[in-house]
Amino acid sequence: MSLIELKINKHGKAINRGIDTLALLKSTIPPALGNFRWTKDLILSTYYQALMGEIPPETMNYKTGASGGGFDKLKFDFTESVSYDSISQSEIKLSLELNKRRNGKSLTIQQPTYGGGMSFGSVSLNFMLARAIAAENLQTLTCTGEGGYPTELFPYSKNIITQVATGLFGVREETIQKSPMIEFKYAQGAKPGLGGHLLADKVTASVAKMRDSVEFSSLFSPSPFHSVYSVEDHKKHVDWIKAVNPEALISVKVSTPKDVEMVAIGSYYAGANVIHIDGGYGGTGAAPEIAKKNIAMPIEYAIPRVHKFLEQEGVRDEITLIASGGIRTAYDVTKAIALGADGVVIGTAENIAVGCTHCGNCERGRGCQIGIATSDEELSQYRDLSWSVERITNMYKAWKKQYKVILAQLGLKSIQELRGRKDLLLYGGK
Amino acid sequence: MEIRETSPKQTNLHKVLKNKNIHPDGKLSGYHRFSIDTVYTPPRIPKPFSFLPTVNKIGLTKLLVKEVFHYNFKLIKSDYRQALMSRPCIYGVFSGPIGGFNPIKEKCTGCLRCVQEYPDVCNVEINPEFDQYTDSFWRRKDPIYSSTSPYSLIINEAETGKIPVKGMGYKGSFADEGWDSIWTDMSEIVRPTRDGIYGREFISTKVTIGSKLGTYRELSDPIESSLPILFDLTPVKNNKILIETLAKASEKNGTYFLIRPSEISAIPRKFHKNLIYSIEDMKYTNHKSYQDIRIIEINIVKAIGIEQSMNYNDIWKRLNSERIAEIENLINKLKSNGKKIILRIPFTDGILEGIEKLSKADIDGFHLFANYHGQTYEHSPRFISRVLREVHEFMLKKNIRDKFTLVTSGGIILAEHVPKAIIFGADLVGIDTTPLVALQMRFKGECVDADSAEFYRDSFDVEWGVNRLTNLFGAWHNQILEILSAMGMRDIRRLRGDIGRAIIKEEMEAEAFEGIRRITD
Ligand code: SF4
Ligand code: SF4
Repeated sequence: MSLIELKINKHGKAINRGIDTLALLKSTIPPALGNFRWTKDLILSTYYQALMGEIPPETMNYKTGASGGGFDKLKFDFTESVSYDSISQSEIKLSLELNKRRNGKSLTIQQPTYGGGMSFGSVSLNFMLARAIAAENLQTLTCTGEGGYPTELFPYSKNIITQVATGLFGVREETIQKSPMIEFKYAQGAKPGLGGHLLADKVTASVAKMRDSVEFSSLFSPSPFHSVYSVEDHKKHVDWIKAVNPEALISVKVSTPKDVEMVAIGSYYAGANVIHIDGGYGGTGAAPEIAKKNIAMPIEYAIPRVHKFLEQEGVRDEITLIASGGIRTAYDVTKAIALGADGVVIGTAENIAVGCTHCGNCERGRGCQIGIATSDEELSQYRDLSWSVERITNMYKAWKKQYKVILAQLGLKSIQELRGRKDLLLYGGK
Repeated sequence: MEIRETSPKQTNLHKVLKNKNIHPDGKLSGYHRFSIDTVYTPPRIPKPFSFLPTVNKIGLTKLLVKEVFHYNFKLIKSDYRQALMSRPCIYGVFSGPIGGFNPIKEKCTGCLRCVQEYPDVCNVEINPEFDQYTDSFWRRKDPIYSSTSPYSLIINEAETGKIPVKGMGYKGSFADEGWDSIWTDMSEIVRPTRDGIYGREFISTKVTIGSKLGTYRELSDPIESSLPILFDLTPVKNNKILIETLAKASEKNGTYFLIRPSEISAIPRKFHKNLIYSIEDMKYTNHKSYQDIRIIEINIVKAIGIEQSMNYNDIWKRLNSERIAEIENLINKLKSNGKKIILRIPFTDGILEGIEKLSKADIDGFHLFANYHGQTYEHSPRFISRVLREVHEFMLKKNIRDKFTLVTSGGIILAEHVPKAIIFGADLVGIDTTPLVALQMRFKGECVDADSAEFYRDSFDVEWGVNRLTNLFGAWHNQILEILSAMGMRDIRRLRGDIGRAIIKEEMEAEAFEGIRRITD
């Protein structure tokens, strides 16, 4: 064995064992673990779900964080609830049709969530592959992010969204043709209006090659698209993609400015099938701290605003509203849907499922110490591929069980019946 | 914490031309693009480290013995020996001569890999020392040890002069009181430049002090600040080193420092044009020492003899016609020397009527202050953002807003608070405890206002301090540009009172959560 293999063998396996020990609360929990948004309990209960594929024990708070607002202060009103057993859980439908227009190809995912864009370079190829295989297992989707489409992902192309972001890094006609859905990324919630950041140390030879850029030179994609000043310009973008791949659905990912509903309706008229709104509290490989908290609104406020406006405009049932940005748990997913989303995009929770501690070191030179957000050759192999696939798949299995418990208690037979049911929520915030 | 440059990369030719004010086409341009030249300035005392990694020594010994047995005879090969020696920390905490037996704590980033790898042997605690560095106001948003807490951000900005950039999402509270319950808006498609953060077009952060009305001649010779940020009166009085540092940093960066008359003798005259002379006592009004100073602030509270121990709300009762005449006399005297006059008044009940009365005097602005925790002096204290908005809107209604500059201070401790205060109506903000944090001065208990605040007495090199504060300004300047550029705005003056650019928690929540039953948690 080479030295790298020896190290991977030694550390990778020990990390996996340790994460399981922590998940089962069989060792001391380090006081430094967790923060207001991803509390100790949320991190450990996600480890638990990724290990067991089951709903965590009630001794862990796996439902809410400690941020003091938003999802953490919303809860379901189960007081009127139907007897839990009166609805058979097997009857409950969790699938989501992403194409709500009358024309075009159907694209149905078997759970109300899919994976958000994480680019090659910001995360390891190993992790990208794990997400893609898990998406295939779960019959849902995942997204390339803006760093190009590594050939290793080609076998899973039916489950992969190609992202076209403002830097156009790694965008190729070939990969657009492979994808069932193309996502235009106008902005990202964690750094709205600022464009993507990939700091120099992570731009290794393979990352630079994929992005047609220079090795070890920081990459900042512009904000917004250089070619888009208006909805009409955006329509030209959509037409371009449609010319390359007429069957692909179009998703438009934007952040959450005050006029987010206008952006949503504009996207609808430009031909989008999915409007994807990304709130500020979501994950990122690197972003200025000032942008994460202070620019654009949290997703909890944006969802009802867009949902209501699309309803008023009479187009709500022709466009799919997807929300993301700080949606951490099965409970957050269902709350987002009750606020008006059709479905949700998940990012960070998948990282946590494979051992992320939410430490926030992803932007550093070698990046992530356990091999998730890194382009380092050695570290990126610390997360064993099949182990990671299983962890992500298990987490979503546990989430599906929770959706069914929640829906059954609310007397609903499908996740889509929950959409916009704000009346089923209670709010305990100040 | 990783940091990044935001200034465009320049060739040597550009630098030479810039220094000579020559345009690359060869013509003299006379144009100087405002930028703040920062320089890495390490802390004068070691920064407190956030985490305390601990290792169970017996557990570690057992682990090592087990590993030796595991590799056994293969250890004759160098690769196996290296694998045996490789430690779980990629940040070098266990890289000392005796590895995990003596962890190098200051290198710990809290990544927790050591715990994940060896949960029975390693643990990571939080460094309790952090609690002594600031007070409760600074600790609200994030756990203070976190690299994204206000304290850590300021310390890093003062060291590097750069925008803090971190991986992973936001970690703090959903929204807190005051500035933290406000988000700024952005635009999906409009920006001042199409080139992202590199090479962006010029965005101005310059503000004018004084009336925006008046003749062309008056307006063509304005008093300007390159940033909408002033150093307010220091929370510790008569600290010579601190005062000199703040004055020099103001001059270097083209902004201003509010100084007490008793402190001015510490400042060489060449720095006086960047001072604002804050008169707290009428006996100083004839003071010769301020002749080069262009802006005078009259502290209404002190000028009419109200002490800190008294209720500030009494000022409006005491502000009878006699007092007003007295203040007007003083103003006229100062004005005859061409000074700009600002009245310093606390946010109290009755502030709107007070402003209306005082606006008749020949003054150039108001400095509205709250305490260092951003709380007003009203009977039921509120956060200043609310009252500031009321004042701004009241002045608009009375058609007097452009006649006066509004400075506000109290509770402004982070870069993002500056544009938020401006959106709520201020032209400029004053910062108080933040420079002291940047200079690594430590709080003694709660630090609520200048009359009661106490800091540990510390000595430092003035040049070091000037560099730290210049770095702070550099980092804040770039962050203000980030906020403005996300909105597609090219001039900070356009942001003033543009309340439509604010996303306000209570308004958003009322709308978004309409129809959701409220419960007490
Ligand atoms: S660096 Fe930390 S926050 Fe980033 S992916 Fe790795 S464990 Fe998670
Ligand atoms: S927490 Fe991370 S940085 Fe700190 S000692 Fe452990 S492995 Fe090293």
